[in-house]
Amino acid sequence: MMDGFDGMAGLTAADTGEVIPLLGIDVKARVSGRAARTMVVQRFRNGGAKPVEAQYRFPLPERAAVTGFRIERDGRTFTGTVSEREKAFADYDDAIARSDGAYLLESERPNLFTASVGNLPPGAEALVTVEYVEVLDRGPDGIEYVFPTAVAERYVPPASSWERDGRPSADVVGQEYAERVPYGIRIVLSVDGRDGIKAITASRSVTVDFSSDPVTARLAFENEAPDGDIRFIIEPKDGSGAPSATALRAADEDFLMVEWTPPTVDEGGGRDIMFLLDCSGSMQGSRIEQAKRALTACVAALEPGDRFGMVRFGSSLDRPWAGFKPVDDAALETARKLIASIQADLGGTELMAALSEAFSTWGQSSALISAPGSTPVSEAGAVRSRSVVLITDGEVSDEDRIFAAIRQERRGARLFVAGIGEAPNDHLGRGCARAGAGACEFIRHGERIEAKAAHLFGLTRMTPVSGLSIEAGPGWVLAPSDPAAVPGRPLVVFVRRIRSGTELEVVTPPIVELKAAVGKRALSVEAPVTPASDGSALPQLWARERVRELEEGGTGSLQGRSNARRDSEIVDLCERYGVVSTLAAFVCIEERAVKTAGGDMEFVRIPGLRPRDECEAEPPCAAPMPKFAGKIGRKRGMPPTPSAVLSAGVLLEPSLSVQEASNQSYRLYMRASTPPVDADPLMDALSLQKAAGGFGWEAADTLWGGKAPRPKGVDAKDLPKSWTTATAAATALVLAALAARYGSRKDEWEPLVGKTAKAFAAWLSGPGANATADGLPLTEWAEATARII
Amino acid sequence: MDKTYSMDRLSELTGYPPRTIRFYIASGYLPPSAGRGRGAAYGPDHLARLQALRDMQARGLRLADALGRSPGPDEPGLVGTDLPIGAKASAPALSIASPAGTDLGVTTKPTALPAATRYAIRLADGCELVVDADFMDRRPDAVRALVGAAGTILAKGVS
Repeated sequence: MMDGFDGMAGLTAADTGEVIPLLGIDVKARVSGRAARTMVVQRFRNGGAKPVEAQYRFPLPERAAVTGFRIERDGRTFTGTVSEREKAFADYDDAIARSDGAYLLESERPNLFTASVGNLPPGAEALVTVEYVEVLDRGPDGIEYVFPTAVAERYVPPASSWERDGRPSADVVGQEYAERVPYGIRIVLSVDGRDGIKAITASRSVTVDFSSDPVTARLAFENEAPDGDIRFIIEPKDGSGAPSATALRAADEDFLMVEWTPPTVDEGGGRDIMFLLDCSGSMQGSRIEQAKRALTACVAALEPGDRFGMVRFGSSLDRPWAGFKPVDDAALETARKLIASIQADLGGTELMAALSEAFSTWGQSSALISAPGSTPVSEAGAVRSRSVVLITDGEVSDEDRIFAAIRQERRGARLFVAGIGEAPNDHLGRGCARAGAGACEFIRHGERIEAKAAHLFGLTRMTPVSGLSIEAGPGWVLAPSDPAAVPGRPLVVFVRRIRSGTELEVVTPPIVELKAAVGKRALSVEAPVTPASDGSALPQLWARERVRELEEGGTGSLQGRSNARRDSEIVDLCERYGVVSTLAAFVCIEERAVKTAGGDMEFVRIPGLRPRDECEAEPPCAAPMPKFAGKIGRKRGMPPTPSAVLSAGVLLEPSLSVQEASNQSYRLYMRASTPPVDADPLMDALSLQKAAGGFGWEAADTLWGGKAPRPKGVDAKDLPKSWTTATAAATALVLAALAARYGSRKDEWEPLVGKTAKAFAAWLSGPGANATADGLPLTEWAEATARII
Repeated sequence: MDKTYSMDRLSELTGYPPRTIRFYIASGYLPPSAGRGRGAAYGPDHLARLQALRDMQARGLRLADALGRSPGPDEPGLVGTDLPIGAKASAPALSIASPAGTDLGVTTKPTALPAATRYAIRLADGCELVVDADFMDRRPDAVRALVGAAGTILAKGVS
């Protein structure tokens, strides 16, 4: 039963005196390998004198297939069913009209849900359970379990401010915020396979119990504030990326889940990279400084033969030069200076326009692209890869339009997204990566932008994997139907087959063959098939993935279906497999023997907290408020009457906004005051990498924070082009210092020093084999010197 | 007695699904109906306001703050019809600047006649400028100037 909720009853919203009917959220998750099943129990209680209709908007991971909705009330349990959304709502509304209890779970976006608790009598309590399954990400540190708890504000572009159903997007993706909320979060994670787990860590205080199997990890505080993503990392003893498949045989269907990590192969060939930097007001402070450092170091890591361009964006666009610049020392120096001068001063986040602009750099040269999504090959046959690296903290409301634009406009380029923020919109980030056949990394509060940006930059070097197919036999339907394989990134594909009457005896294949092409090389791997465990959610996961593809406009065979046909296919899938989507909702009716009056009901929207990287700031009395740094938060209350519209208009002028803050219940929110940006010798030194690879003494001095030790004499012959003996010694010293001093930040520098490491190693193993410094072999001298602080 | 409409009829007349209509009632934009569910009765006021809303949507206007929502991140306080980057200026662009140079709020006045749209531009707490839509279309510069002058007067007083 729901223990641990004692003492949380009857709290009221700060300052308003109104009772918030949500008392606590209890999360129990079971993780087995990369599969996770989560139960979220929301405890509602009406502490007021009237019946209540409460509405609570909350985030879930975008990958979640929501498969269950149950209500416990007065010792009885009611189970919800999935229906087309309008019908579910009509049933809900009718139940309230009949004075029954009614519960509704709708999906506004794949990662944003609304739970409605209708007609809860005074003093009554209801436990609402939302159950979902998902396949977790496997990152470099291990398997990531993320439970989102806060919804960051999303920018609603003027061009798409209405939903298809006529509601204002701002209200559909928005959240009402309070300074404090009475409900906290409790999470208990049970992880199967104790012997294979090295450690479990989390982004908040956590206690881990290894004495049992499954291992349990629970948040140390019973009432963690719902103000951002709560992240657990399950570090395995061995992280195998070998292909594998799990099979489930249902009544008249077979399901497969295939996992594979495509290889990272660097076949060389020039790169075209567009760097796209978000310079909207919210990036001000440490975000833009870190992003600039990351960008400078990435630019310096470009190789001869590469070309690069840059777009910075906010509500407007700024492009320092047209098209691409070939990489040479002069171009790198220009870029360094330019990036140093960048400020986050471009207003709002018009992401779509920025992406279009970046993709348009490749012009309309469709001759270079043989097919959408394929690797562009020039007429000469040389492969030149195309990538866009996007760094943004943008939260926007029109994800589907952006995905469609990416698919349509990317001209064969891959999109790599570094998304910044404690409560990132994972639907936006992952969706962009899906549409752009690239990858996405989230950088939460306190994490460094440089590491993730460097990692994504490293991926642009890898030869694209194309034409992935899964050979499991005839009649199998893949979800997604055209999976994008990204080198080094674990991939999951779901497969379904409906067995016809004559095929009932057909057995599940013992192996599944995956075929793909890496550059021009064909690749074939075999994944052994193991049976899924009892209660596997493979059918729901397959259905959710299929629905997602339909929702996002589809690729491959799903592309171009008419809206009506697409919508009915989504609803059919949702009803058949019992999963939620934006077109199908869970509804649950609690028939009451004694009808409680539903007429005079109070409607309450339950407020949430802002993400923890935004906080309430002092009203800016003396200094004028930076135009876009501030945010206005409105206290929760009953919806205003129509005459109270336009409330925020006067807040735009700082002097008036302060007045407002004291007169009415307005508060001014700003991003957490950003700590002074520390000097970062590592990134600064990497920024000084030469176009052809190699470092000068300037870079070594930067790492040392003063004059780095020079050898008295260097004997080095047959140096790479444009190198001097000083370059050889400085490069040896910088590489040695990175290894000796910056081991903990290897993930940041390793993807960025590839060209130098390659050039240096090639020289050392050839003409430079006998190079010495102060009489020692060059690398020995460097290693010894690097250890001296 | 005023004419009443069933939910199905109201939905048919306005093109909004019932769920959306209930959303506007819950948000306070529409008055409560008599009863709930499929049997509830709605009045001419519901129809008029929903049609005004349709009109507003067709004109590409936003309702952001009509529902008491605060501006989103990096979002001007409230927006009339400021066009996105790259948008074709097929509709007459309207952007009303306050003395501070930022956009002032514009929204439909839902109490207006069904098909006619008016804008209520909030100048200060308790003070609004109401402009007919066609005036707004014809004289956007005049409206902008009025708002600018009003802002100066409200901030600095009458000199």
